[in-house]
Parts: sequence; C-alpha cells; structure tokens
Amino acid sequence: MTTLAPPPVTPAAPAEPRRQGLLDWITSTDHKVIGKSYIYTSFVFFLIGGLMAELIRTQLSSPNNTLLSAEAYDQVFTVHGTIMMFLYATPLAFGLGNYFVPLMIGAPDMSFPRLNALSYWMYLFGGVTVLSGFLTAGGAADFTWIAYAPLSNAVHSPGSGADLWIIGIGLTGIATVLSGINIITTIFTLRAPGMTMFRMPIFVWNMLVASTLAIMAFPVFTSALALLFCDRHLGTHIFDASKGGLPILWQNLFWFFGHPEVYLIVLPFFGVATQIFPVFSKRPVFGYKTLVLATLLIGGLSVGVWAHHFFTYGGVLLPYFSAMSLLIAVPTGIKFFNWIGTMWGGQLRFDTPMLWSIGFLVTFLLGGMSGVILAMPALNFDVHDTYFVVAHFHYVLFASTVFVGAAAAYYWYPKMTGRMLREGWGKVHFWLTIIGFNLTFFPQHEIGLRGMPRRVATYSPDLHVTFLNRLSTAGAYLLAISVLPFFWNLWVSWRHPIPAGDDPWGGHTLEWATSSPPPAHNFTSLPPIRSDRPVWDLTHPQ
Amino acid sequence: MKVEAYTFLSVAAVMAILGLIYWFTSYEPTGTTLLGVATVFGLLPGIYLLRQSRRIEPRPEDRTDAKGAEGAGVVGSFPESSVWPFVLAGGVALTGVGLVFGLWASAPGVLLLGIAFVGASLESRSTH
Repeated sequence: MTTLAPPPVTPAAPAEPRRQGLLDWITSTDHKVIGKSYIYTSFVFFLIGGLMAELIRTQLSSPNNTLLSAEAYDQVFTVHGTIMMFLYATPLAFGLGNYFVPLMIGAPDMSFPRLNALSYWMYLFGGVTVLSGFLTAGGAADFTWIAYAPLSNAVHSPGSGADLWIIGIGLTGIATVLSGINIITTIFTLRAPGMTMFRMPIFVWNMLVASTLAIMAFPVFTSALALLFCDRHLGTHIFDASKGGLPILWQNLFWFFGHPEVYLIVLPFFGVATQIFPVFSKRPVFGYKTLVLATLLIGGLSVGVWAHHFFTYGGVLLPYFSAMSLLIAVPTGIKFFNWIGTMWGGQLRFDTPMLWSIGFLVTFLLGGMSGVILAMPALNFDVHDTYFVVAHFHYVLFASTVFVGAAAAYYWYPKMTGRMLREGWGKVHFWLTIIGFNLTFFPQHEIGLRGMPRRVATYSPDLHVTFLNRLSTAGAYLLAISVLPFFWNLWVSWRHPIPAGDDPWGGHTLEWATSSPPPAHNFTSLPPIRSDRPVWDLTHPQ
Repeated sequence: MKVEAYTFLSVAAVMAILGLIYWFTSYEPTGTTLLGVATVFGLLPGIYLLRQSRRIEPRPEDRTDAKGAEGAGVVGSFPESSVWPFVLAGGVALTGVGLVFGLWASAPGVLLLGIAFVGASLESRSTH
C-alpha cells in the first residue's frame, strides 16, 4: 500500500493533463499500461494467426486443392501454431496477470516495474522477429511449432526464416520467464495487510502456479533452442543421429517444456473463470482450498507427462506416462465440481462474462474427454497425428484462451476503461463463436477417425472426408465473422460510452474497490481484508 | 511467509517423487535429469523462504487480523517511467537477429545493449 497524504485543499497549479503519446507508452513502467499493451498486442497476433487459420481451412475445403503450395501451407500452419501458443495465449494470460494480480492483492504496482517493461518489449520484438521470416527469400519457418529434429536442422530447413523463428521464440521465452519471476515476487512481497495467501483470489493462485511452471519449463526450451542454433550454425551434432547425436533428445526437451506450457496457458484462464462464477452466482467460491490444491496438483503433474506427446516413438515408458496423464483428469475434475458447486443454488445472472464462462465449461469438458482417450496408448496409437488430435487440443485451448479470454474481456473491460460493453452485441459474439467453433472442430474428430493425417496440405477424395472438411471450413468462416460484433462493440462503447462506475458487476475482489480505470498506483484506500472477498464484505455488512 | 515457503517446497517434493518413480521405472537419463533439476528449482527458493520466515516476525500480509494501517509507510520506490527497458529489449532483439546473418551483424545490437546497460545503471543510481 502506498503512503496516503490528505488531499491538498488548493492545488498549487492546475494539474497537467496526462500525456498519452507514443513516448509515454514506450517509457511506461506502470503495470496497467504494460498489462494493456500485452492484451492488445496478443489480440493483434490472434487476428494474424486467425487469418492464417482461415487460409488453412480454405486450402482444405476441397480435395487436392492448389490454393497454397505445400511449402506455403507448411509455413502458414507452423506460424499459426507458433503465434497462437507463444504470441497469443501465453502473453494474453500474462497480460491479464500483469494488470490484475497487483490490483487483486492490493499492491501499487509489480515488484520490478522496469523488468516488467523489458518483458513486454522482448515479447513484442520476438513476435515481430518470428513474423519477419515471411520476408526472407526462403519464407518463414515450416517445421511445425514443435520443430522436431532432424526436420529442423540446417539440411532439411535451410534459410533464415527458421533461424528468425528460433531467435524470436527464444526472446519471447525469456520474456515469459522474467514475467513469471516478477509475478511470483509481487505475490510474495506486495500483498496488502490481511491479504494472507489463503485469502488471495483464485486467479492470483493460478497465476502463481502458472508463473512457477514458466520458470521451470521455459529455460529448458530456450536451452534446446540454443542447442538447435548451434547445430545449425556452429557445426555441433547434438540432434544429428548420423554423427552420434540424439534426435529424441529434442523431443524430450521440447515436450518437457511443451506440456507445462499448455497448463501455464490454461491455468490463468481457469483462474479468470473462477473469479466470474461466484460473482454471477452471488455466492462465495465453493471449496476454496480444494481449488488451490487442485491447481497445485495440476501444475505438479503437468511436469511429469511430457512423453505422452510421442507415445508412438517406441522408446517411451507407456504405463508411467499414461497413468500420469490420466491422473491429471482428477484435479481438473475437482475444479469442475467446484465450479458447478459454486453455481449450485446461487442466484445466476447470465450476463456476457458468465455466458462465455459457461461456454468454456462445456467446451473444455469435451476437450478433456478426448484428452482422456488420447492418454491411453492403445487408443492413442490409432489416432496419433490425425485430425482427432487437432480437434482435441483446439477444444482444450480454444475453450480456455478464447472463451475465457472473451469472458475476461467483457468482465474486466469496464475496469480497464471505465466504459461498459454492450450486452446485446456480447451475446451475438458469444453465440456466433460457440456455433462456429463447434462447427469447425467437432467434425475434425470424425475426420481424424477416418484417417486424415494432420499437417498435410491436401487429401484424396477417396478418404471420404470432403463433406466434413467443408463443414469445418464453413465453421471457420463463421468464427471469422464472429469477431465483427466484438469490434463493433468496442467501437460503440468508445463512441457512445456508458460509464461503468467502480463496480458494475457486484464484484468480490479488490480490483472492484478502486476507480475505473484505476489511478496511478491503484488505490487511494483499501477496504479491510477479512476474507477472500473483501469488496463483498464491504458492500454486504452483516 | 510460511505458506510461500511450503508452496515451493511442495514443488520440490512432487518433482522428487516424480523423478524417483521415473528413474526406477524407465532408467531414462534425460527426463530424470530434468526432474532432478526441477527438484532443485523448488528447493532453492523454498529453503530460502523458510529460513526468512523463521527469522522475521509474520508480516501484516501473513496475519489474518492485520489492519490496513499496519501497511502504512513506504512500500518501495516505483519508477514512473523509463526508456531503458525498451532500448535494452531492442538491443537483445537486434543482437539475436544479427546472429542469424553472421556475427558482424550483431554489432549494432551489442552497441545498443551497451548503451542500455549504462543508461539503466545510471538511472537506478539516480533514483535510489
């Protein structure tokens, strides 16, 4: 908490209007400005990655299509995956964390504001570096976002596009580690008096676990990238089997990072949903401590399951990785029970944030079910590297990053800007998205079961997947259209603002105790913190 | 500060258990090494925080009955604005991109890094 001085009765000079210029943005170390930069930048990358997805779906709308060459197709889906994982999902999660963790624990800023700014700029420059690969002669990286050896070596992927990918992703990886350190330190050292660890909002707990995962997982990946760079440029043979290297080492290193990465993306969005369910049910969150325990368990187990991404390699200890993967379903199931328990018997209000959160609940459940199927080697062998897997991870990741991402946008936009978004357009946005999403990805389960491999630019009409692919493409177009009401909503709220007030939703946590948008250093006064929902205690005195 | 310490120690415990099971069922070195390092990662901050929590009184944010006034005072100094993170990130990025095209191409990036290091250090000396 900052020191408070009584407001001066007669200001010495009229306060200068705050500059909002480019220089102000570049030099800002305010966690709110940086958080917003993260969120907006990740949204721009999301739109770019989304356009690439539309290209992919257009290419696959008919068999033996020649819209994209095989090379161009490889580049487009590689960068699509890269953008969505590293430049959209992760930064959006950390952007929300940046903006709301200090607000939720009653802190004036992040622990290391300048480090925070450094993280953001490294992320932005890293992202631009990856995209700049398209401007090189050989095009962007085309070895998929998992960059398996030996495909990613200098022989099979020559060209500087691949190198720019390695450097760019390395930069964003370091940025994520720095952000993680910053968030953990902020949570440990800048909480307001009375805000004990077990009174922190669940979102803050989830950011804590996600940040821990980031520090554990990303350095492994960054080191692997450095090794790969050495292989490509300095003549080492670390991943080169012909010279005694180990290609499987890349797979181990990559997925030791890659699987925690999935959970470090998903957990913050679980946290956002856990903030929204209680507010729109007018109940305290059901089973606070079990939710914390479940988050910790998911985080811990997620580090032990990496090889389930390459069951078919042959040298993998199947029982261990299968058992671990199935075990993760238990804490995730606990969370589902808690979310349903929170809503049970509550006074439900179906405002837009709640609608998106329930959409997430249903969609993520489907993705979780196919995840349980994929965790069993006997079934995994049958559908490995088919569209079934594509359907599975889009259900999981789209549900958390886009559905809950949108829920967060509608829930917190009033806090960030002081203006409300229109409910009607929000609902149009939601229904178009959930219909478009299921139309795109549900058929892909069946496409995979019929044997269509992923990452292939064309398919034969004999595979009998043409109709299903067209359904999927139609859904993808609907998804593209679904973004338009959101843009319209932002425009309308900007041109004809409806003031939000400090607490438009009847919120429970500390971010609703300050003005919208919050002032510099966040709070002029804090309510007493006597439970995990201090603002509710303040507005509902017994 | 105890809960913070136990959070990290629980990370170490889980990683150690996973690592032991993994080694004695697979005898595979890569994963075991990674899990071992992850155990150390949990132990280092965990032990540090545990020692700190024994050394100091519970802070106002560790006590359920703390009043708002107990947190009064200067929490820390928070810089209003600084251009150096931007320059530093630009230097890192330019150096990295330079590496792709040859060592010489990194020179502008390294120069920018140097400027940023000096600028950031001078700035922290003047603000503290």
